[in-house]
Amino acid sequence: MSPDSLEPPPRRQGSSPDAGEDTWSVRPYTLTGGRTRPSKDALPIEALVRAAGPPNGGLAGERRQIVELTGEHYVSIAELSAHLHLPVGVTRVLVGDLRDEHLVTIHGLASPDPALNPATTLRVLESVLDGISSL
Amino acid sequence: MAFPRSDLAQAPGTGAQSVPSQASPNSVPTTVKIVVAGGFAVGKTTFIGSISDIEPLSTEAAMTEHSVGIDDAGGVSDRKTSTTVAMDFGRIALPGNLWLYLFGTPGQDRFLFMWDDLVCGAVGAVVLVDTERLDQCFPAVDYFESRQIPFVVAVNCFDGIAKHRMEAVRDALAVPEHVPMVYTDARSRAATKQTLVALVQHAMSRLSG
Repeated sequence: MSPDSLEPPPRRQGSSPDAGEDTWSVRPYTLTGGRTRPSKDALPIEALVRAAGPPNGGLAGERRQIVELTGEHYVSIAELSAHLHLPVGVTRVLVGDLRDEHLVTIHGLASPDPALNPATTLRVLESVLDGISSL
Repeated sequence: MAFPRSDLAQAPGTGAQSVPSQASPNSVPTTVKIVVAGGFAVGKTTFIGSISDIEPLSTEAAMTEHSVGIDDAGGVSDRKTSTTVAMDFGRIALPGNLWLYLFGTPGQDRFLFMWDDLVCGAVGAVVLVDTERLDQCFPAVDYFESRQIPFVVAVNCFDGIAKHRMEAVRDALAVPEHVPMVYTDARSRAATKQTLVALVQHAMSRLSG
């Protein structure tokens, strides 16, 4: 969207966060074998995913799409979830599996120690403040 | 559920606006996030869209809720129900290879369960307020206050007109004195920017104070 535009973006039908639609059937979690948690640590929704290499021949479906989408750029779990039309929880599980198979790397994992979280260090907050101010 | 596909071709970091010139394309961006909370139709997605580099995307967080109720036979049932909550978000590339994510979440009581996950590691939150429906933001104010998460209360002025005095809104919402309150206009990039600046400054003062 243009930096000068003050107009609201066009409202998309049916995509309101308040619509409360139950659009998911059982299927998404069949992709994960019914698991709703990734194999190890919980992955933050803003964690960035990057493919370790091009997708191998054995990869199919959403797993292949994740590797393809992250082939050239870092893509967050949130964005993968939106692009794949999958709930965040399912995307986390799939990404966690791909990580365990060394097919993707995950960056920006939150530290259990708040003092080590990037967003809570003064240096990063200063950069964020300067960055927003310069927009 | 409609998802905009327009930016699929433009993955993060490919747009001219998205890549800060000093950043190497292969260095991992630092991600930070801000939560935008508020009641139904208060303008969260408009607020995010006014400043996001990408058209706001929508995703769903499917959650399992534990519910106890009375079943048809009159007995107490104890069961888990699956709830789906839609969440819109945007992204802003900032100099220094920083990616700022803005996540908009419904503010109603029954959706608060998804916030614990979301606010972990967040800079803080903007509680967007419609003065016609103040009661909708009570849960959000309570939530962030009780968890000591930095937040600002942003009164969304539809049509640019402040209908209520700030102190009256502060009293009505029982917002503590140390929490900044600002007027904003969710449609205005400049106003959204000022609101985010107020939040980051508040988060910094909390950190250094």
